[in-house]
Amino acid sequence: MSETQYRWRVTCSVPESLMEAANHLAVAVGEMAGDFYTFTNANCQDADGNKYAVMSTVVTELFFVYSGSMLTKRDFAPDDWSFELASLAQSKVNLWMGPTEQQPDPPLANPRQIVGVVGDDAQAAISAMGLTAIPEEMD
Amino acid sequence: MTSLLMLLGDTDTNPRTLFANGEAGLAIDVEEAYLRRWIWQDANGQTVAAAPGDPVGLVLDSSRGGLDNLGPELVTNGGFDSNITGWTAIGGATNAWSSGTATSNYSFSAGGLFQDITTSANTVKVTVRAKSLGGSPLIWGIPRTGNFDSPHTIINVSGSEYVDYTFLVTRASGATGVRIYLNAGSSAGGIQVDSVSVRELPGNHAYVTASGSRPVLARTPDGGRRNLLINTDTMATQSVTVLAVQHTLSFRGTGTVTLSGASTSGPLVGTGASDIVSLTFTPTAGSLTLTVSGTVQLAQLETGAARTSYQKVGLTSDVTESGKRDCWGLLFDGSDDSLQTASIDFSATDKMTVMAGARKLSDVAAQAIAELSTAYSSNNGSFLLQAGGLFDVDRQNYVIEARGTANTWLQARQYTSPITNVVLALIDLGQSGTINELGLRINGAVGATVTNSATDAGTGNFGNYALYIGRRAGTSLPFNGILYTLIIRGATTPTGTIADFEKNLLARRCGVQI
Repeated sequence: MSETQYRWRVTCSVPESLMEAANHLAVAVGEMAGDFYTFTNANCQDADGNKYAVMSTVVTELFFVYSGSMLTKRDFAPDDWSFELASLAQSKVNLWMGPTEQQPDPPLANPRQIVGVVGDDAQAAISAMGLTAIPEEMD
Repeated sequence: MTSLLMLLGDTDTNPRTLFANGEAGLAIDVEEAYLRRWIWQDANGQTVAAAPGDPVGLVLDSSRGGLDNLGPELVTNGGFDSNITGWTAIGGATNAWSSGTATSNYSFSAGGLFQDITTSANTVKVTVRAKSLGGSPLIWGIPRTGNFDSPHTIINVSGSEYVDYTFLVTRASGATGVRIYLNAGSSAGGIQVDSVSVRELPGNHAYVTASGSRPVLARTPDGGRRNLLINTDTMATQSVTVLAVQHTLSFRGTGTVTLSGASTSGPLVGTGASDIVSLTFTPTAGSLTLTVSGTVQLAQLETGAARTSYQKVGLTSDVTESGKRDCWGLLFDGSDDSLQTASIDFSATDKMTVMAGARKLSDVAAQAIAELSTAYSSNNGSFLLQAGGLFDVDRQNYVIEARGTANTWLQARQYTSPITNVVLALIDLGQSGTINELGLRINGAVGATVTNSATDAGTGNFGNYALYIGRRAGTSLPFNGILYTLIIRGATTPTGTIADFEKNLLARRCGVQI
């Protein structure tokens, strides 16, 4: 059996105001055209009531290469993909790679930043960012 | 040598037998999909999901036979035996026939040849034998006829030798077919195509087109996961969420594990490379950090007062145990993972059988395991199989909810996560009263502590809707758990058949005894 190349999980919180830009960034660091629709629903909130879209996914090493480099238009990018918006989102990313002496815990979600947490447990990452799901009405 | 048939189990519980009379529905059997390589990382069926941890963008519905049951050839003049008739030129490319092939060369702008193909199945399998003539040639699979709308499959054709490019295209909602576009590219060079084949792939296959929303291929041992740690062969510092119950930590080696957070018991100090040491303690509920120094191997943290057989955990998606068979499923992260099908036409029936083998990992919120339509509660003739109860104070449940013309529900209570269950729901909109319209069985028996709505579901047949798996409409009620098997059958199912499938297929696939 082969081993997966998807050895990392990244869980991101995107403030409502950055969702559009984050979708352009998702295309630049992602794998397919559908990544343009990664952040569609701000259904989590922080303690102050700020809303966020949350995404968790497994990634390969390429994710870190793309996200840390000058962005380029990918083959599958839609015609209306914007380098400027993707770059704007990239400039707002705070990616926590794991505990260090300086930062032992993941950062809290921030209404002015896209926070990414590298770790195997999506729910633990969401909780560590101080986010909870916004209750949904059920019938 | 073990045959594939033996691995797949008793042919009497082959899901295909449930659909022999043309019943609408689907059968997602992850173990079969894994063994037969009917599961891919991408929605276009190009890269097989072959290892635990691989994301899954497409898994085949095996109810119609999958790739064993392809339909007839749909392409007109796919062999280019004597000309390129049947293919339409577009854009600034020069198209020609040459010795049994079609060539398309960039001239002054992007262009090439395309063909619109009408299909009665939602998905087609496409194979294009092509090579590059330089530049940046492409093959596009477009999910509708009549235009070049995205999203679509885009394949880069490279190399001067012929390669068979195989992919799947699922037509868009409301579309009557797909478009195949042989694109010379947008720079000097072009594409040479020896053959094109398009054949229907019957069934309602489950896919997702955003890479971040893909569930993950997972394996767990028969009997379920006990070891709460990850990377256990050689453990590193990590944190886990624990309940306020007795736990046992154990490992082999000369290192030390120090606990903090939910417990400060210990530390547990290793006594040698071959010695197993253990520590039993009761934490508070919350996050427990295990700080490792030195060499700590074969580490295990589990509930209970004693170490049990070692379970090797790589990532959360890969848990194995010596002597136990692997159970293959899709791990949904409880955040944004989901799959969906094209519309499934259930309009000829008012009866439904829903079978799932699943492990739910959380009871903190309502979670959609499978839902017909974007929301059952606002679409006549639909249903929702839900993990997590209807009410905030009572989430340890499974719920079947349905709507003929009004919403009704029935729930089986007190299945506290983490737990693995065979869940079976029966719906008959032709009956009166919720208790007659809905049925729910858990692990082969009528669900415990059943409660139900007082409202009748009304009448009518089920609708023609997409089925959403793991998330309502792909946007809300995310499922946190592993789905091993999902069978949706637009018909009532005999009691004996149900019992057979519960015991011999679903329970086996998810690793529970019933």
